[in-house]
Amino acid sequence: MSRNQTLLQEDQDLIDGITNGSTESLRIVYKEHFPLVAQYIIKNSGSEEDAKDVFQEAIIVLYDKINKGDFILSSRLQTYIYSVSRFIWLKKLNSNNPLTVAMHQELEETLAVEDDLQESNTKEMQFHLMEESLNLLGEPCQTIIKDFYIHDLSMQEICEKFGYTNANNAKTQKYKCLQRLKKLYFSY
Amino acid sequence: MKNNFDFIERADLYIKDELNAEDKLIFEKYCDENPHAAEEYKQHRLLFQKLREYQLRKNL
Repeated sequence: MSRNQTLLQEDQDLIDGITNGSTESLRIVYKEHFPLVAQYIIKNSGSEEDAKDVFQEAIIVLYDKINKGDFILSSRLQTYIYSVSRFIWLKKLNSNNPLTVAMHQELEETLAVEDDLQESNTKEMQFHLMEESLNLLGEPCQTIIKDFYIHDLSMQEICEKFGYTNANNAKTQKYKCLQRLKKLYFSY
Repeated sequence: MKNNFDFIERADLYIKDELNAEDKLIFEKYCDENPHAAEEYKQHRLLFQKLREYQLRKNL
């Protein structure tokens, strides 16, 4: 398991804990993620008390989303909590005073970062899905598919490389491999 | 298009831009007139794109 996967698993364990009402999980979330949120709020005209309120609200948002069953961990939990906290804080500032141009810009950037994160996570998921599908496809299919669709080898070149008696046999093999790959990739 | 095998071969040539102008039009017309073929082509093209994206990411 990669380091990234380990971290995501740890986050998932915390979410499972929160789902099951574990106060220990909430304590860990607070201990690990509050300092970053507090640092941001204090740096942006807030106090430690403000930071506690905002963090509490962010945890409630997370808790509600988990309980509704529509929370999918698509990024690190820290990124999620930090983004929600920033959003809540900017909204609070807005309710007291009109947003400054800089704050508007920051709010937009926060939302844009969320979009970017979402897109990046989708791409990452698709990459792993393709990798897994190609691995399950095995040889010689994996190489035939890569040679034809990625490295742009002709069917004649593939025929010679794999020792098929003629290009038609190679085409039939490539077709069968392709159908298997489609089944693997699109069935997830 | 005689069968799915034949269709996929044509689709490959179309995606790789290896069909002449006339065959390109024939292929497009076939997809326009056959919703099932259009759907099959859409899925085929998506898989092709994902394979290419996979390789780009792998090369990073």
